[in-house]
Amino acid sequence: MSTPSLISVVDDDGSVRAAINNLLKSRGYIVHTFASAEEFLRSPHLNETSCVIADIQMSVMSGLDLLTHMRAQGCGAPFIFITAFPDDRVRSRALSAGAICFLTKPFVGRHLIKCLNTALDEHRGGASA
Amino acid sequence: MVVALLIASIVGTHLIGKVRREREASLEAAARLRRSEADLRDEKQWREIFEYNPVMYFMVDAAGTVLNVNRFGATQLGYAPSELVGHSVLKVFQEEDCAFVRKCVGLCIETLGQSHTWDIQKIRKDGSVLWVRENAKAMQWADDKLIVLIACEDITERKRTETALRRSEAHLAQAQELSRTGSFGWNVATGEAIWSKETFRIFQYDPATKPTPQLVVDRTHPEDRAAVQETIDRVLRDQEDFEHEYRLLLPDGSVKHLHALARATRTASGDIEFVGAVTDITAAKQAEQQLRRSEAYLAQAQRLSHTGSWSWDVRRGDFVYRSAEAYRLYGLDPEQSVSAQAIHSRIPADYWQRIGEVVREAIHDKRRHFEFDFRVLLPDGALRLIHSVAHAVVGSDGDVSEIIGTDMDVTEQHAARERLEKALAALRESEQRFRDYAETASDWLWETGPDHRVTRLSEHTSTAGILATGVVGLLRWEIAGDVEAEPEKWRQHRATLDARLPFRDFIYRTVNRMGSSIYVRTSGKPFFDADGNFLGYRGVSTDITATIRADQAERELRKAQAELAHVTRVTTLGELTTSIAHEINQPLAAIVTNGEACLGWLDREIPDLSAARCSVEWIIEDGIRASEVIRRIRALAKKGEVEMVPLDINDIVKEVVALVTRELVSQQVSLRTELAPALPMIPGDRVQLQQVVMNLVMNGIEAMQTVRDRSRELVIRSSQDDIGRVHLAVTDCGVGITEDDADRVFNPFFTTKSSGLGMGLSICRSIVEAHGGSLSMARKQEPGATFQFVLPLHKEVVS
Repeated sequence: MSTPSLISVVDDDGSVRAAINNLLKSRGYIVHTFASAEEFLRSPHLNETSCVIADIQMSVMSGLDLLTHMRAQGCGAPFIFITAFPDDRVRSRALSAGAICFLTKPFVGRHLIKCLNTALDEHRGGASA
Repeated sequence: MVVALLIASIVGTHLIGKVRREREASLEAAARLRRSEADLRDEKQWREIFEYNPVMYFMVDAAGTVLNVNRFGATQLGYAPSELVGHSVLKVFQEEDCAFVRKCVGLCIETLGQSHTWDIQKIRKDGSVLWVRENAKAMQWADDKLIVLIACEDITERKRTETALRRSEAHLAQAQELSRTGSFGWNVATGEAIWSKETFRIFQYDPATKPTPQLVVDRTHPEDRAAVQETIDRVLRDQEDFEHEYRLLLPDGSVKHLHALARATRTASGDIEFVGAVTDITAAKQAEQQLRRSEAYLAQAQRLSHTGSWSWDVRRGDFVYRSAEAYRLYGLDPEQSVSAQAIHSRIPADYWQRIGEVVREAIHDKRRHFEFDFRVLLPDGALRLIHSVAHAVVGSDGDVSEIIGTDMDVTEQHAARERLEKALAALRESEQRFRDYAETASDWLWETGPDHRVTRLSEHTSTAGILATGVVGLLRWEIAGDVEAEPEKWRQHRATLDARLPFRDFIYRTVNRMGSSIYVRTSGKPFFDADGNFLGYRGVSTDITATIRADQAERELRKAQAELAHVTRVTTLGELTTSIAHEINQPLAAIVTNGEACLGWLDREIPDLSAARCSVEWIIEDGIRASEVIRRIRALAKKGEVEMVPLDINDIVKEVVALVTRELVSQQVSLRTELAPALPMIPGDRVQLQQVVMNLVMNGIEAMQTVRDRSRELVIRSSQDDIGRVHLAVTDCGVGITEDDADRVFNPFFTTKSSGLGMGLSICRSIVEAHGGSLSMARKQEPGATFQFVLPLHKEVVS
């Protein structure tokens, strides 16, 4: 088996961040959490991440900004967005920017896992291609 | 030969032995003779010593019979030895002492060879008494007989001195106690001190205490302690007589004044010793103070009442005494001696003459009491009116010897009386004026009788057109139209009337002449005749219909305002829905996710219980967080009564910030709070003040919506101004308010938004004003605006 998948969670809400971390760990994932997009970008494991789960609404740099920035840097890690502000406009922007999923808080854990599996499959496929 | 020799030797030896024996015998006899001669000589000496020793010796047997007595002893008692020998020794004792003597003799015999001493009185032959100290001892005499040998010493003189000394000591102690004077001795060199009983009592020390100068210092009043210590130090240094006064502060808190005096004397050993007396002078001091005080009071009283007292010696024709005020009344200095002539010169001649006549007449009639008035002309030209009261004192010769009197300055009283008369005239005038006013006023006066029926109404009532005609003879509750509607009010009113108490501002409804409903406010008080019989009530009534209507209108208005405040509050909350939904969705998301994580941990092959437990704990925390948000919203959406409680404005700000945080984030506004610590509490309604702060914050956020060229910053600043009021300012850096709008921002329905009622600032202002404060705009140009309000610590305006 290849190296285990590393999931990065970026959310400025501490409770949500900890909860996602908790959920994914209970399912056996290796998770890194970040309180802001900037913090994530400074991470030494930036390029090792297999999937980014990011909040849309964050001060300074939003989740969408982060996606744009990472793509511009040539990083193709799949993105799953979560938001407490369901907004169709943002949703379509996110999906068109290449996000795998766009989940509304509160979301069902199953859906997140499903999105994550999809993302990891795509990532692996992308990596092997 | 041998035999002969032997015999000869035997004989010789025998002879020699005999001769020796005889010689020895004669030697022994001579010695015996010599010894007996010496014995005789000794005995004679001893007997003489015994007989003439100035100590009385008695030798008695166990039964107390005198076996022997020396001559001195017998002579001292006025007896010849032969008169005592063979007699009972009890003969020379007082009858009441006989038992004691027997006991003493018995004791001596029991304790053979031991000495005993006692003091006792002996009786001479002539019946006089002799104090003796007896030293006695029992011993074995010939024939195993026990005898008691007693040596007596005359201590009569010593006893007398002792008694005298004891008596004089007792006298001294008593004298010290009576005079409150203690004595003391103090040897400076040895530090040894002696205090008399009274000295201990004065200082309130146990007489068993060892006296030292430190004891004095310890008891000295703290204010005098330094001075006393200084005196002691000086005395130690200079060793001279001393005298000082100081106070004691005793353990019971009382204060004593002492006067101490001591002389330095030189003892035989050359040391300096102080012998002195200390006197408790508290009573004298207090009397002195009291006297001084009462003198001062009297002088003060005279000064305050402008009354001087004096005494005139009729024979000498001069004043014996004048109090200080008696000089001042004449404009003279009491410190300088002033002649009768000086006083005379201050009284105008005609008055002087009249005084002379009055006094002469009083002397002639020996009048106990007489009064007269006169004027005093002061050097500055002022005239004083003096009223004198005096009485003549009749001397032992039956003639008037002295006149004692008081001078009272009645200038002011006189002027006051004149003023009073003027005031009375003015009062009479004003009474008429008042009557005129009353008759032209809208109020009307009424009077009811003992049965509470209307007896009189002021004449202008009917012209005022307020009351229906024909109310005279009716009871108030027959006139009123609200007796059935408000029975309790009327029950209380009638109880007041039955108790004959005054009443004020009693309001009732009735109808006017035109038949329309009016409200009347009436006040009344009972009145009585000279004997105290209740005659009825008198009072005044006013038509207050207009006021009542205005009050009702105001209440309606306030209710409408409160409704409006609620509506705008809910509207504001509506504007915040998205933010608030986010605030609730965040913890909800965490709850759901943690719940699923918990299931995940439990579903593992080996369930991880501690991780599951941890997940559940987070769920609880987030649940609380969500409910907190809901609580805040509910509080703000509440439509409740205004509740004034002490509030910290910083808490209000924090609550509001908690609700708008997400809104700030989504509008990319950074918030800076500068909250002054420890602000005083202000009385206010929490929800209403939250509404004001929230409105200002929301306005600020909105004003910055179009700002692109600078960071959007909102500042909330709390402080206290220099008169103690709490100050809160919300500053944005938005578009600001135009000059035109500045005058209108607080107007109702003013708005720059497409949505919204435009009531926000108008309501904020009325809320702040209802709290006794004011809301204003401080900066109206770009960049941005500042809205601020101040609230007083105590609500001054209740509207």
